[in-house]
Amino acid sequence: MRREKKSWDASLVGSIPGRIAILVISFVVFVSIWQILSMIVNNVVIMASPLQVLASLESLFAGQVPVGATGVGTIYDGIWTTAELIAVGYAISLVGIPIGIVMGRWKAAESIIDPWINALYALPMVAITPLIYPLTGGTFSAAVLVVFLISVFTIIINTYTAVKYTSNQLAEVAKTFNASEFQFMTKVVLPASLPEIVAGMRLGLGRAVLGAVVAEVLVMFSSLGQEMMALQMLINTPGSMAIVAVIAAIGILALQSPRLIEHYAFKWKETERLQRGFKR
Amino acid sequence: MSTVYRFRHGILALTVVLFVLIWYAYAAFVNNPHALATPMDTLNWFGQMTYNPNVHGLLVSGLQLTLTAIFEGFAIAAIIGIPVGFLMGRYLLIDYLLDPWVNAWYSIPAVAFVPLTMNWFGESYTATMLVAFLIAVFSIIINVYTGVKNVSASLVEPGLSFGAKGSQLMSKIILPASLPDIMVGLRLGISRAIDGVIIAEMIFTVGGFGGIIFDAADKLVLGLAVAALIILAFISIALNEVMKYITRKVVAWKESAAMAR
Repeated sequence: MRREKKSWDASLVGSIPGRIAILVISFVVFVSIWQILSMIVNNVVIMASPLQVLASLESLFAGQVPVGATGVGTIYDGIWTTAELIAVGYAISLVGIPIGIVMGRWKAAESIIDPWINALYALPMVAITPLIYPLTGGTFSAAVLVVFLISVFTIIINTYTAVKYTSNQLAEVAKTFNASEFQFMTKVVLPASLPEIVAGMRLGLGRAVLGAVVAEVLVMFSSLGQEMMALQMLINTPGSMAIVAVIAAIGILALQSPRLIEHYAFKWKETERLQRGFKR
Repeated sequence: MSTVYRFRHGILALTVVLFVLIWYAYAAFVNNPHALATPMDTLNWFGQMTYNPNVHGLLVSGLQLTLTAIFEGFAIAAIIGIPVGFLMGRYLLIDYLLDPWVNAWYSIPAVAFVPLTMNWFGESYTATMLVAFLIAVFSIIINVYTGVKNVSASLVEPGLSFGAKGSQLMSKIILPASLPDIMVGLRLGISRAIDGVIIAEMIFTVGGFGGIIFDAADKLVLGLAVAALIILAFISIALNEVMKYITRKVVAWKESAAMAR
């Protein structure tokens, strides 16, 4: 869809060094605008400058615990807890893959499970979080439950849709060649729907990261999320922004690195993956 | 068709009944109204919502606040997100310039936006709305961008060879062809906006449905929290269904997996 007129900027920015240069330049521009704005606002509570945030990031990573955030531990503890929370909750929510496969393949299962899944998927799961706290207290497993609930339905729905539609399309061929149900599943349906299942897994991971931070803010004791809100309440804006930056980095790392892997692993299905990968 | 499929409505109803029974039994087992609300308790609060003017008022005002925040955040996100997604899909320079940023901001978990908006606007309606906007907009941009980017060459090239100008190409080919993706983006955007509003309301003390659920759970009035949660669930499902309906109407010609849900 590239027109001839576009060739000049394609040659300028199309190469890898060109893209990196653009990224670096836009980053520098972003940070300078932020710095200038914060100098204009000149109020550290409303807008901490990049330098101030960097300074508190440095002190956080030097292992210092900011005033008022005692009992939270160092930033390394916080990052470790968050990572653990995401990993455990997400691993459990991968149970959504078999559920999705069953739903996509057997109409009977679909007809019963689908209304539930649909309803639970539409429900903003974050709203359940406050209700889990009275039942369990601020434990790690309660937070894991939140992560699970927030991410599992995305995984189920993506797997289900992928399996359902590939099996409809390819069923004719497989049936013509007299494939058994087992052969049909393992040789046709699963390979064909794998890119989308993986796309669903990636989206589920994004939800798991969201769920982990929500759980930390609302349910769990001693965590990054708690520390962020504590610093926020103490009006230590550079501190809370530093933790926002750490949380953002975790999210970016968790969501973007699988995207790269996917990009190279599923080159053969690139266009369809692109078309449908971001669906939910 | 199997027997199970034939009786699916009955079985579905049965699962609902079973769910309530398990809830009832588990609540009886926990036997602590400050840990888990019983179905009766929840039903009682539904009654209160209808007859008790205080609770009713709380609910109605919360509903107004939440829905306004959702729609406003979503509308601004759509107004900004669709053109930006279009420009990114159309112009390579803008694409390379914005793509890393959009992907990075899209990956940030929504809760991290809360302190940001709080610094600028305090614990206010504006901050709530802004959280919804920030979560929804990047999802919309990414879907519109993907849609525009993936308009097939077999549609664009005939247009070019018949001498279509830029604006004609846009309005007659690219816009209709990417409409399904735009609609998916909008549907996702609204569900993310709901998430954002609820998260923000639970943390800010500005009322709204998230606030009601959080406060009720915080004060251990769990029946009210569950009742409010159920109402919220129905609202979200209704919004989702409305978006699906609009999608089906707008892009009825496009039969694809993505449109099925």
